[in-house]
Amino acid sequence: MKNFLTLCKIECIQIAKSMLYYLFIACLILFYITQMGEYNGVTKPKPGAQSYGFTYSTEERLMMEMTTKGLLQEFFDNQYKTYPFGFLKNVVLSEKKQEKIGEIIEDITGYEISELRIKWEEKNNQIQEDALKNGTMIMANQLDLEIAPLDSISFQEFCSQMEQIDELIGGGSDYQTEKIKTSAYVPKTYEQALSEYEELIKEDGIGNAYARQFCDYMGILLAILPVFLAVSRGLRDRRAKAVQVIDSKQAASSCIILSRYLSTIVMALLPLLLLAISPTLQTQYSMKAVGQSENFFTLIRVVLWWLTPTILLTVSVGFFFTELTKSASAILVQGIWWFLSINSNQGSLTGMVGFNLIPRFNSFGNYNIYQEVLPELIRNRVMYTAIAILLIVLTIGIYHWRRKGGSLSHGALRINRKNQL
Amino acid sequence: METKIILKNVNKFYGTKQALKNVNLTITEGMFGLLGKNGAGKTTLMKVLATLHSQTGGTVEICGIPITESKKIRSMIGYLPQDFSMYGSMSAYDAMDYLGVLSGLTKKERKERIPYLLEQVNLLNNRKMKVKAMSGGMRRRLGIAQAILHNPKVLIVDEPTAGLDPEERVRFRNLLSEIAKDRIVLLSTHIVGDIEATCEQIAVMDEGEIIYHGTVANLLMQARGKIYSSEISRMELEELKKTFVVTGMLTMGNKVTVRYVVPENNPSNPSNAILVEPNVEDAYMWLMNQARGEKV
Repeated sequence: MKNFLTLCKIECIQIAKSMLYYLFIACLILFYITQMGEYNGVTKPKPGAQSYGFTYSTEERLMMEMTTKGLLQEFFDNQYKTYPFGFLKNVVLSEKKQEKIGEIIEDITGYEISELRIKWEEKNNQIQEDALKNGTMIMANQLDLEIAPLDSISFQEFCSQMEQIDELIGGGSDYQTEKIKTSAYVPKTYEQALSEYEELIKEDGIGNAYARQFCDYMGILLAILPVFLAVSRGLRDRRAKAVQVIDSKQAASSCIILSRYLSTIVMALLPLLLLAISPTLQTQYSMKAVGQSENFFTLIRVVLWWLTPTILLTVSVGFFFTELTKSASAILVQGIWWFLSINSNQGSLTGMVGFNLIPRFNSFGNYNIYQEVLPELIRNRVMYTAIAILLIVLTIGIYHWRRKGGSLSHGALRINRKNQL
Repeated sequence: METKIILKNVNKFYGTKQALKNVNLTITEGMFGLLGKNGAGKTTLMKVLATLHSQTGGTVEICGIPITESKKIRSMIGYLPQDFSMYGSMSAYDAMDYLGVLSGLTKKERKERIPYLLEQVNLLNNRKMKVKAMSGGMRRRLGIAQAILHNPKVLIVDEPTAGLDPEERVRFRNLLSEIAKDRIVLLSTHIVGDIEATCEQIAVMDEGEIIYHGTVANLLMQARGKIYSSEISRMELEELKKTFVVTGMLTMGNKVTVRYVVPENNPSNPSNAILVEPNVEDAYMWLMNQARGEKV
C-alpha cells in the first residue's frame, strides 16, 4: 500500500512536469473565463422593474398554443426543422405525409386546412404589404397564425398527436413531448422572480446553484480533455522504450495501472478544485450578505460528485483503448462519444440528463427542475462510474496479458505473435 | 536454495515459426555467455527467463522456482533489455527511484541502494542528469544499476555492449564481471569479444537450438588443428573465400594475411598455410560452420 501511494505520487509529479498538462489547465481556465464570466452576485427582485428575465411556462394550454403556431407555419412552408446529431436539417415532406399532418391539424384546431391556408395567405400578404409600405423587416413570429387548439383537446391528447407528426417528419423535431414542454418561453412576473429568489436563498443555496452551472460548462471539457492525458500516459512506456524493463519488475499489474489511473484522475480534478475556490468564496459572501450561511464545501462537493464520473469515464476510455490498440485511437473513440453527447441535447439545456455523458444544466437556479432530474442524474453518474470501473478492470487484464507476452493480432488475443527473436 | 537456472526441453513458437527448439541448459553462479548470430533465439530465451514471454513447451526453473510463478521470479531477477531506456524527463536518480518502487523496495532501502549503485556504475555525479541527455553508455550503466537495484540472484543482460565505443565496452564488461561475484549473470551477445573477455561458461545458439554448451577453453580445444593462417595476394583472396570460412584478415599492401577454418583432410589448403592456435572468434566460426553441416 505504501509503495502504491509512492507510485501515485511519482505519477502525479510526472504529469505535473508535462507540457500537455499545462495545456489541459490552460484550456480549462480559458473555457471557464469565457463561458462562466464574472460572478455578479444575487439581488432580490424589486417591484416595478422592467424585466425579471424569462422562464418556461408550465401552463399546458400555452404550450399547446405556441406549438400549434409553429406547426402551422412549418406545415404551410413544408419546411420542418429537425436536429439529427445536433445539426439543423430542414425536412420537406411528401404530399402523402403532408396530407396526414393536415388531418391532424384539422383535428386539433377544428378548421379545414383550406380555411387555414386562406387565413395564412391573407396574413402573409398583409404583412408583406405593410413591410413594403413602411420599409420594415418581416420578423419570423409575425407570420404565425393565432390559431389555438380546440378546448376539448387535453394536453396528453395533443402531445400524442404531435408525436405522430414527429414520427412522420423523421424524429428530432419540435413536436416531441420534451420539446413541447419548453415551447412556451415567457417573461417572468415579479412574483415568480421573488419566489425563485426565496427558493434560491432558503432551499437551494447560491453555492449549489452556481455549482450546477459550473458543472454544466466544465463537464463539456472534461468529457474530452482528460483522454489526452490518459493516452499520453498509456503510450509513454513505449515511447520511452521502457516497456520491458517495467514489465520485468515485480509490481502487480493492478498496482501499475491503478496508480497511473488514479494519478491522472487526481491531476485532472486538481485544477477544477482550484478554479472552484474563487466562486466558493464569492457565493459564501453572497449568502452571508442575505443573512444565510452555506457549507464552505458545497460547491466543491457538487463539483466532485457531478464531474468525477465524467473524468473517470474519459480517462478509462483513454487507458482502455490505448492498452488495447497501443495507439492513440482512444482520442478518436472519445472524440466521437463527446461529439454525440454534446449534440444529443436538443431540448432545453437545463435539466437534460438521460444517459448522456454530459448532463446539461445551463442556468443559474431552476431548483425545481434540478429536484425533478436529480434521481435521473444520480442514475446517470452511477452508471458512468460503473462503466469506468469496468473499463479500467479490463485495462488491467489486457496489461497483465501483454506483460506475459500476449499481443493483439488480427483482432484476437494471442501469445507472442511478434516476430522478435 | 541453490542459485541455478534449469531449462528442460524448452520450446517456443511464434505462430508456426519455432524460435526455441528443445533447449536444455543448466546455468550456475558466475558469468554465463549466450552467443549466437542475430535471430538465433537469444532474445527469446532471455525474455522467457525474464517472464516477458511464456514458453510453448518444456519447463524452466530459476533457483528452484518454476517460471510460471512470475511474481516470485521477478523478485529474483534483474533484467537489462537490449534497448534499455527510461522516461526522458526523469533524472537518473528519479528513474532508479521509480524502478525501485516497482521492485518493491522500501523508502529506506532505496535511499541506501540508489546512491551506492550509481556510485558503482560511475553515475553518482550525473544523478540529476535527465535520461534523455545521457549518452548510450551512460544509459547502459544506468540500466545495469536498475537491474541490480533489488539485489537479484539472477541478472539477465541482453546485448549490453552493442553500440558502445571500445572504452565503454571494456568498462561495461568489467562492471559485469564484478557484479557476477555472487550471482548468475546471463549475458547474451553476438559479439564474440564480450564472451572471450568475461565468461568461462558459454552456450552457442543457432536457429533456436543450443549447438554448444561448455567452457570457452573446451570450445578452443575442439577448434584446435582446424585454423590456419596464410599470406596470400589480394588476387587469391576471392578464391580462398569460396573454399574456406575466413575468420580474420589483415591487409598489408598487396598482401593479405588470412585466418580461416580448414575442414579435416582438405587438399586445397595453400602450401604456405600455417596451423595456428584458435582464438574464440575462430572457434565460434568453426562451430557455426560445423553446425551448418552437422549439429554438435
